[in-house]
Amino acid sequence: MSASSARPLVGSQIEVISAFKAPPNTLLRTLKSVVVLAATVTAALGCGAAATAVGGPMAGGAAAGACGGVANRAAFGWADGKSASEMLDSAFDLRLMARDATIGAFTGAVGGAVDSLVAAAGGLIQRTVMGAITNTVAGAITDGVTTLANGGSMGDAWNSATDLSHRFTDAVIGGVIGALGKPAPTSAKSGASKAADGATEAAGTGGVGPVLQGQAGVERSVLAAEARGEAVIGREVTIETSAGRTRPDLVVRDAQGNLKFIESKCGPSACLTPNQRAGFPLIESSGGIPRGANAGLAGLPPGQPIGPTPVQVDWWLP
Amino acid sequence: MVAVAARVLVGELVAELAPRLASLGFKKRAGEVFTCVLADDVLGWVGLNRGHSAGAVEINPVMGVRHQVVEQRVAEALGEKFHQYIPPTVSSPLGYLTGGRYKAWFVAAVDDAQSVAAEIAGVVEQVGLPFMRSNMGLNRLVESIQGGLTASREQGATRLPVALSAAGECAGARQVIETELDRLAGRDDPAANRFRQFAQGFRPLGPAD
Repeated sequence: MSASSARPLVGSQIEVISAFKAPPNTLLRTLKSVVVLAATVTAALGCGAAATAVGGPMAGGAAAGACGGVANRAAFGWADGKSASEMLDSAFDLRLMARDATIGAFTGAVGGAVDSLVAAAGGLIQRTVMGAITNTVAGAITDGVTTLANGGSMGDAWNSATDLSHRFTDAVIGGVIGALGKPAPTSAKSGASKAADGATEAAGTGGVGPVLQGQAGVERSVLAAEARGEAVIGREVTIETSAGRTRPDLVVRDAQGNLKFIESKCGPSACLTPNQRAGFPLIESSGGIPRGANAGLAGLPPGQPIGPTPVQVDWWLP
Repeated sequence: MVAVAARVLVGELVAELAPRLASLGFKKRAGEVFTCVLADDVLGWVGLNRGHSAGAVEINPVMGVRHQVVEQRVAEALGEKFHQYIPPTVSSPLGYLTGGRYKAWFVAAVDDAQSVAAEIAGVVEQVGLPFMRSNMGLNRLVESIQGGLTASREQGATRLPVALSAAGECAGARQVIETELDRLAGRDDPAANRFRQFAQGFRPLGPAD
C-alpha cells in the first residue's frame, strides 16, 4: 500500500505527535506536554483508585477528576512558564476543582452504571460503550496534543479537545467499531478503573491502551512482512526528509536487498501523524537520510542518504 | 504502574551485557555498539537496535562484520571522514542467523536486564561470532554483499566495487559501478548524487592499477 494513498480503515483523529520535526520551542513544549500528561494521569489514577475503594465509582470519579485537574493545571502552568504562585492559584482554583469533581463523579457513575448494564445486557453494550468512551478519550487527547504541536495555546488545546461535535463523531465511530469487535471479558474493567477513566477524561488525558494496541500492530506487521519473504533489519529508525523527521516502526529488506519502511497502525482511531503524512510521500519519491544512533545500530549509517524507498502502512483492527 | 525510562533499561542491559561480551573479546564503543578484532582490519560488530513498546524496550541485536580497508576506501572516494566502527560492511539481525525469523528481546524492568543479557551474549557466542568469522575473507564478503547483507542498497553499491577490487577483480568492480550508474540515470535525489560522487572518487585497489 502506498503511503500517499493510504487511508485508515476506521476513522477519528488520534494522532500521536512526533517531536522530531518540531522546532526547538515546539519541541520543548511537546516534551513538557508529555510530562503534563504523565503527572495528570498519575494523580488521577491514584486518587481515583483510592476513593473508589472507599466510596465507590462515583466518589472515585469525583476524587480522581479533582486530583487530575489540579495536577493538570499545575503542570500546564509549569509548561507555560508561569510563576509558582500563579501555578498554585490556577491549580487549586476551587471553581475548576468543583467542575472537575462533578464531571469525574458523573463519568464514574456512568462507568458504574455501564457495569450494571453489562451484567444485564451482555457484552454487546459493553463493547459499544467502551468503544465509544475509548475513542472519545483518544480523540480528545489527540486533538489537544495536535493543537499544541501545531503551536496552539493551552486554551486552544482545551477547546479543541472538548469540541463536542468531534467528540460526538468519535463516540459514534468508536461505538460502532466496539460493537463489531470481538467480545471482551465482562470483568475487564473494574469500577475503580472506570472511575479513573472518567477522571482521565475529565482531565483531558489518556492511558496506555493505544500504546499496547500499537505494539500488537507492530508484531502483526513483522509476521506479515516475513510471510512476504522480507527481513526486518531495524526498528524505529529516524528518517529525515525535507518535510522533517519521521520514525517508521520497521525497516525491512526484501530478497533483492531493497529497503522498505513499514508503519503499523492498530485500533479504531489510529491514524498517521502530520509528520508521517508529510514525510512518507517524500521518502517514496526522493528518499531520505537516516538519523540518530538507532539507525547506526541497525547497520544504516546515519547521515548517508538512501534513495526513493517504499513506505507501507499496515492498518490492523484490534 | 510506574514505567522505567527506556534509557535506564537500556543502560542496565548494556551494563550487564558489556562484561559478558568482553569475555568474548568485544569492546564497548559509544552508544550500544560492541566490536571485536577478528583479524587485521576486520572487526566483528554487534549493535543493539531498539524499539519501544508499552513500558518495555525491544532489543534487536544486529550482527555485523566491518572490513576497515573497504570502509576506508569508501570514505576516501566520497571525501568523507572515516568512522572507526560505523557502519558494519555487512550485517544481519541476530534472529535471521538463528531460526530465520525476527527475534527480539524485551526488557520491561531493571530485573530483566541480567537474564536478557545472558541470553543475548549466549546467542552472540553461538551464532553471531561464527557469522562474523565466516565473513572475514574478501571473497565471502563479496558474496554476502551480493546476497543483500548490506543494510541498504546504497551501502552495498559502494562497498561491492571496493571489495571486488580488493579481491583483485578490478574489471568486475568497474562493471558494477557502470551498472549502478546506468540504473541511477535520470535520478536526481541525494542518494543517486552521492553514488555519482563515489564513482568519480573511486580508485580500484587491485593489481590492474
